Formats: sequence, C-alpha cells, structure tokens
Amino acid sequence: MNFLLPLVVALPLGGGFLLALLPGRFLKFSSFFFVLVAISILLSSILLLPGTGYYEIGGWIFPLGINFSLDGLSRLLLLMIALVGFAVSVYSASYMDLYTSRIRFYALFLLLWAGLNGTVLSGDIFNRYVYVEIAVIASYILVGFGCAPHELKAALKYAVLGAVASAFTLLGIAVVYSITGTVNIAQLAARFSNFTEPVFIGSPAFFAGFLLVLGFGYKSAQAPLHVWQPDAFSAAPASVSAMMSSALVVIVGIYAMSRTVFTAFGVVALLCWLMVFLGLCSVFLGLYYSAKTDRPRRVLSYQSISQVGYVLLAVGLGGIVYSSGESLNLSIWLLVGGLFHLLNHAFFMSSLFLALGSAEFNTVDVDCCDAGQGIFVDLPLVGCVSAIASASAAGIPPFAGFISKFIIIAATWAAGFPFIALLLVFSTLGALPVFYRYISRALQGQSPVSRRPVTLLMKGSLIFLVVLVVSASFLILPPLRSAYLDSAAVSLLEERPYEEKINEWEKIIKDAGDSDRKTGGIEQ
Amino acid sequence: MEDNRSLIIKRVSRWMAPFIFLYGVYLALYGHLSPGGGFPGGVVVAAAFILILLARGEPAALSKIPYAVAKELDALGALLFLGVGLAGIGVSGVFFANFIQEFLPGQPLEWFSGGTIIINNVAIAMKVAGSIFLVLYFLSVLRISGEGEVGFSSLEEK
Repeated sequence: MNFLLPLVVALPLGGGFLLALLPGRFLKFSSFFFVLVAISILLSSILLLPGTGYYEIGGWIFPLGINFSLDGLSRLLLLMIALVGFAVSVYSASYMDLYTSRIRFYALFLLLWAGLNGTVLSGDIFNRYVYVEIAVIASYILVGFGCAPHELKAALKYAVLGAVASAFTLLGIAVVYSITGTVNIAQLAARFSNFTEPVFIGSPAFFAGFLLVLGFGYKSAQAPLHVWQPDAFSAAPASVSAMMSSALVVIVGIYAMSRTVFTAFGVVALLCWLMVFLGLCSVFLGLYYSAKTDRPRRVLSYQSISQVGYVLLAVGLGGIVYSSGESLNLSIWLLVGGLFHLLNHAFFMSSLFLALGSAEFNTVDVDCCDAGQGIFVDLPLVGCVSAIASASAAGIPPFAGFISKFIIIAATWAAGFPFIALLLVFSTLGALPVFYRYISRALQGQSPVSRRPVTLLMKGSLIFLVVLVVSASFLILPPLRSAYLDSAAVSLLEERPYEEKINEWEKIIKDAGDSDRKTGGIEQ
Repeated sequence: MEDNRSLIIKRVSRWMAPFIFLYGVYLALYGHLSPGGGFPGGVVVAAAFILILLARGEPAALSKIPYAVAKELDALGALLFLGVGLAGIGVSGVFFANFIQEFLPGQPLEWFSGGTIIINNVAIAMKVAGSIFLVLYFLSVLRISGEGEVGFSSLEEK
C-alpha cells in the first residue's frame, strides 16, 4: 500500500494537467474523466485508512529528503477530503452547466484537491507551505470563476488578504529555520523538546509560532481575520463554496495550525491560548452576523465561521489542559470532541452549500435566491437534505452535531473552564433560531420560477452527503472511536513522530561534528 | 492601434531575442553542472518572447509562440515532471527515484551525469516559460481590450 501515499497527490495533479490540455469540445469526456479521477482518489484514500507510516520521496533517507507521513490524524482527514471531494465532483459534473469553460473548472478543482492532500501528508513545514499555496491559489481563481464584477472583486479581496497571510507564514517558517536549523516536522519536534529555555512572549520561538498561527488563522477565516470569507463564499460557485468551507478552510487552517503548535512546537500553552481566543471570537462573531442577515449564502458562511470556531477552541483548550499536565484523559476528550466536530462540520456544511446550490440551479432568478424566500418549496429532496444538515449543525439531539458539541462543552466544564463552557452553551442555543429561520423562510412563500430540473447526479451526491451526515454519529461508538478519533487525538498530542529514527540521525550529526572538531575540520 | 514604437527597439529586439532564447535553453540544460536550472532557464526563455511582445506587439509574439502552444507547454511541462516521478515508481519502485542514474551513471561533471535531473530541469523550464509568457500575455490582452468590460472576450474571439 505504500506506493499509494504519493499517488493521492500525483493522481489529482496529473488529472488536472491532463484536463488542462484537453480542447473545449471534449466536454462529455472531460466530465467523465473528472469523476473517474475523483473515484480513484477516494478509493486510494480508503485503502490508506488502515495503516500509518512515512514515504521517502526519491529514496532520500528520512530526515534529509522530502517525505510524506501518514499518522492517525492525517489518514482521517485524507478520507474526509476524499469523501467530500467525491460528492462535490459528482455534483459539479452537472451543476457546472451554469458556467462556461467547465474543463478549466475541473482542472483547477483537481489542483485544489492535490494541494489539500499534499498539505495533509507532507512531513515538513516548508513543503506544507507550498502545498497550501497550490490549494489556495487554485481557490482564488475558483472563487472568481463566474467573472462577474462582484465575483472578481471577492476573488481579488481573498487573493490580497491570502497573500498577506502567506507572507506571515513564510516569515514564520524562516524564523523557525533560523532557531532550529531544520524544517522537518519530526526533527523540529525533537529539537524543540530539547529546548531548555521556556517559550515566553518576546522569545523568537513564540514570535515564529505567533506568525504561523496568524497566517493559518487568516486562511481558516477565524474571527478577526475572517473578512474575506463571506464575500468569497457568496461569490463562488456552490460546489466551490462547499469544498472550501468543508475542506480547504479546515485543512490549510486548523490542521496546519495544530500540526505546528502541537507536533512541531510540542504543545506551547501560550499559542494554545491564542487559538482559544481566535476560536471564541469566531464562535460569537459568526453567530452574531449569521443572525443579522437574511441572505442564505451569508447565513451559511457566517455559520461556517462559527462552527470552525468550536473546533479551534476545543483543540486549543485540549492543548492547554495537556501542557498543564493535569489530566491526559480530559485533553484527549477535548481533542476528540474538536476533531469529531470538524468531521461533522465538513459533512453538514458541504450538504448545506450543495443544497443551496441546487436551488440556485433550479431557478434562474438570482434575486429571489439571494433573498432566500421559498427557494426549497418545489424541491422536496433538497429541502429535506437541508433540514437534516441544519439540524445537525444546530446541535439537535439525535444528530452527530449535538454529540460533538456536547463532548466539547462537557469536557470544557470538567477541565475547569466553566465560564467558557457557559458561553458555548449560549452560542449553541443561539444557533437554533438562526437555522430555524433559514429553513422556515426557504420552505414558505411563493416558489421562484423553475427553469431547470435538478439532475440525477446532483440528487445522488446530496443523498450521499446526507447519509454521511447521519451516519457520522456512529464514529463516536467505542470501537470506532478508539480506532480513529482517539488515535488521531493521541497522534496530535503525544506522539513524537519517528523518535528513534530522528535520535539516531541527531547522534550521527553530533558525532560528525565532534570528530571534525577534534581534527580541526570545522573552524570555530 | 497606431504602432509608434521606435525602429531601433524593433531592430535590436529582433537580433537579441534568439540569443536570449538560446541562453535560456543553455541554462536549463546545464543547470545540474553550473548556476542555473529549470526555473531560471524557463524565465529567460519566456523573457525572449516577452521582449518580442513588448517591442513588436502582440501579433509578432504570437507568430513566434501561438497561444495554444504556450498553453500546451504549460500543461506538458507539469505532466512531464509528474511522469518522471511516476516512472520512478514503475522502474525502481520509489516515487521520483533517479532511475536513469541507477542504470547509466555517467561520468561526474560530464553533461550526461545527472540522470533524471536533466529531464526534470527541461520539464520545469517548459512549464515556467509557458506560464510566465501567458501571464504577461494576458495582462497585455486585458489592457488592450479593457474598455469597461472585464473578462476574456477578446481572447475567445481569436
């Protein structure tokens, strides 16, 4: 199975560039090929689920060369991206009838997917930065895909802010390299754990971590840095909004951030507090703005900010509890809650955006869709999918969204942060009326004039996603939880990846340095 | 559009462009032995076409490198690079393994000594040359056709 590890990046990359070569008249074939590539990525991600390990690209030995590493967390996220990406690809094979030059869309979408898979797998922070750039640069273009003035404006805003964020990230990586002399995550973990001086505000290590958290926070649209997100998600094609909200924002933001703060830096409490601050801000600002607006795309975008805030908050609190050394069990529960909510968020947000996109596909009346009144009246299936996904997002008991929020709130309370837990209870209750109003407005009133029927492919992918939304609850049952969620949390918190291999290597370097010093090989 | 570019610039660019192009190819082909490599080589190759674009206008540049060719160069370069990586799996079982080096090592400091590095450099040069030329070309197209309307309308007509 080991050769599959580079293939999950190579497949979408190769598929994307092959599609970019195709002339415009092979439209049917290109749609078919696009879905075929999506299915093959999904299959290889499923095959990669049982194992862990690393892959040395080009045969260069482990800490020296570029490497892909697969652990408990990354295999779970790889599968999540593949499931959502597969549903979105099948959906856009007929949804993209609304747009011209679809082949370019397919090519860019596959590049976005390759960037995401590479971000999850890459074993050093600089290559991860490059993959993040591949994903977000493809998404800049996808946001402005319609080429209408407001869409281009949103894309430009996103691109400019994203470039600023990339500059922060790159500067952070440079500072990390100057402190430790390496960018390999496993080696960073070993060297940071040997640091004797503590990380305090004003130390170079904190400065580097602060820059990295800020850079990734921009891309995950966390609250004070979220300004690009509602515009971009309103302007983009619905399938792009779905993929971005469920996969891109989470992977290049939350995953990259927590990999840095937890695995590379070795759980720095100050940076975890920064994550908690960003998370709390997003939970409440997202809720406030989603309650203020009536336009469906904006309600969903702000709700997405709010839900991702829960994830960041839970992960940050887990880090704080872990570094205080009080209770390992509680910190694992906080992380499990956060990761479980991350998976749920991916499934319900993508189905909400795709359902909304079906309503926009059904009618040509853009203004009516923008107002959100009666858009689901003629579409029973789409309305049903929306209602179930909203129920999960709002945290109504039998659904998975309730379970994950409950775990987060209960563990926060038990960890000794009752004030934050109460705030989260309020925000969870506040999300109920927002979603109630969204669904009830969409199901009442005059339905807009229907032009195109929703196709079978779109219906199929909506049903696939809603099955995922419902069946995600099973992930919390003990055998599945200990196999996937717990191992993901443990791999984030406790594992020093490939410790023996790294120690061996550090010893080789040290010995070489010593013998050189004896013979005078290196001038001091 | 009135062509008011000076005769000197047109003449000199006509003489310079082939040498710049050749220098770019040299940089790409000898990148593993001397300073240079795929990226700088590709940029210099693109610079030759950009010089023609700036000095003699869009039609002259497109007669040297048509839009479709630049687009295909862009995609083919990336595919060639990926193909080397996949061939590594096929021949040696490792992604991006230097499989030519294993079978035909070559003399150090000779031109044929890097194995797949030469192919990779050429692939990167193709990709970079195509895409950098296209970026500049799109900027010029959008400026010429951009009377209020945003989009690629002028391009689709061609």
